[in-house]
Amino acid sequence: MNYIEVTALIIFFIGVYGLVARKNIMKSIISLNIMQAAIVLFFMSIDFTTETTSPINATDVSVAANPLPQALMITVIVIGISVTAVTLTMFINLYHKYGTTNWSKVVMKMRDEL
Amino acid sequence: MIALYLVLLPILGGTLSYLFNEKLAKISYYLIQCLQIVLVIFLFDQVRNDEIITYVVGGHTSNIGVEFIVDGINSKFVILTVLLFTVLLIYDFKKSYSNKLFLFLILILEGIISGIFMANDIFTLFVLIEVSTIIVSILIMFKKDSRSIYDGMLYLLINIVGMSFFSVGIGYLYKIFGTLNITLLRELIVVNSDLNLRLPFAFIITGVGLKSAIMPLFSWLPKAHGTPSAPPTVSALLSGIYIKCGVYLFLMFMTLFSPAINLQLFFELTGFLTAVIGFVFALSQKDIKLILAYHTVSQVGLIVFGYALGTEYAMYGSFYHITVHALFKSSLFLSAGIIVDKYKTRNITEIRGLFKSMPFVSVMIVIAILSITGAPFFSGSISKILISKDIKTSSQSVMFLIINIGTILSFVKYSTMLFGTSEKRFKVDLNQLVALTILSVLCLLMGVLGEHIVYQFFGAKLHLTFAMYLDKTVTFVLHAVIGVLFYIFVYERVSLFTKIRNTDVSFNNVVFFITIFFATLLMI
Repeated sequence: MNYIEVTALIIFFIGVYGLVARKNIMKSIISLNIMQAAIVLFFMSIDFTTETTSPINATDVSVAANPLPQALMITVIVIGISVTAVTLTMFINLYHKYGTTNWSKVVMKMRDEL
Repeated sequence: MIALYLVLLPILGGTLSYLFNEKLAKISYYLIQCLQIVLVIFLFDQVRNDEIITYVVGGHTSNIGVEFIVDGINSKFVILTVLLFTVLLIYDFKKSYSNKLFLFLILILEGIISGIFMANDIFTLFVLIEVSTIIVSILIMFKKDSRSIYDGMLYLLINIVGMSFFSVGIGYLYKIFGTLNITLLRELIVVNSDLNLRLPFAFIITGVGLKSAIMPLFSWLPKAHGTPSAPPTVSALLSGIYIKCGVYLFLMFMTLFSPAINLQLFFELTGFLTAVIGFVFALSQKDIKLILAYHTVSQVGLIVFGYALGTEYAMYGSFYHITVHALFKSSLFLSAGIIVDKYKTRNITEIRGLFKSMPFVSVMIVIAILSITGAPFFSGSISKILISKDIKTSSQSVMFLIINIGTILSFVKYSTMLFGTSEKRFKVDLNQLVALTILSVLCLLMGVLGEHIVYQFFGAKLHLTFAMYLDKTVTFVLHAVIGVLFYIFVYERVSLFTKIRNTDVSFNNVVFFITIFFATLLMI
């Protein structure tokens, strides 16, 4: 275990803490983004040493970093962006209906409707 | 190549057809579905001789490329997927909500689900699951009323949290073994079984456990599958086939890690508790869609329980149950959709006299109920016989008995709506009846021809004698009598059920449960 890996795990669980402890929907979405950032950092720590160079335009392949995790992370970032976009759209819709950013207030107002 | 076409055709074809006008697009979606059926028949022809087909996209080596694999077991699930989607499209033919956007989303989901069953590397799995989660959440809130927007959003957020855990697990596996290919990982884990894989194991099982809705992580499922305003087809496909992707992956990862971390007893107990909690919650609900949704939880429990027993026949039984559950649960959800449509209520205490008002539909419901409760000659009984075949210890057989009786109990309540009087007689569209008939006939066939189908599917011999049938019939009638007596005399007096009905789990609590489950997996 190197220190980047540990940092990534700590950031990941900070995100989880945000999801458990905060009732604000906006903060839940931000916490998810924090988790996503932690995942990217975690994958970057795979096979990482300070001696390696960027795999794009590498003149010497033997010192180039492993390109696979980096390629995977582009996909993860794209998925992360689309997920954030979809959740934000849903959140706007929910906000228009109930006028609150709080999970428990949404549930309360929904009960009143029934 | 066929494996790739099965995934790409609905996605690319669906996207292109979306450019046409409403009428043309609809025609082309149904054409694509017909092509899918042809492709699946070819696929079935290829794998019939126990062949394993692999295909790597782009001609890379399987170590770095995106690989699809079709073998004896997952080919059945792909066939099931295409079959179920065909039935659902027949059911939806005249519905007002089934416009071109709806069909577009459904077709994409079909491609992705086939992809999940066939993908042979974990990163492709991750991408496919993530995309399907977004599509499913849009389908849940398709009618855009406030309740379904909340349910869809909750579903999306919770599942994305689960998939985040999953992707960290993928990272760990890649870090340790340097490959994402499942076949290679399987070999590497057997060779390096002394390595400490606890952390990736906990991360991945948390992710797929959430997807398959096992014990502490099931609270999102009834919300998503039983949303009042979601179209019945969406509920049917979620409970019928989509949850099976999660369960299939859960079973697959359980086996993948078993050389290094063997938690058979833990999974057995988890499956049992999931089943029990599922039917207790199902008993306490009044909304027919929610009853069916909680019932899915209990059946997932049975599948996991059966697989965790570890014997060969129990494993086949679990896979068989995945297939048949898809058939009868979608049949139940579709008929529930018709009932809600005609009676304009979902409350089970207000729906009475189905035999009088819709005789044909109620016969279909009876077939589905008999299948799900494991009556002899119906499909559920075969999987239950397979699961219980090699049970040795008495504690296991007691657990199995409790699950069985619980299932019957919850369906005694569900079947109350068949009886009683009703002045009206409703007319049901022909295409919906055709869809229901296909599912019911398959339910019956899977039961009556059980021995042959088990042999065809798994190459295992199952011999059912007349004495066995007699024995099963007697036990079933006995259980049913217990269920009816319980419902008449005890059910109303238990206040626990009212309490359960009024509990609601918030988003924060669900994530808390996820964390607890993760911590438990790390500790034990």
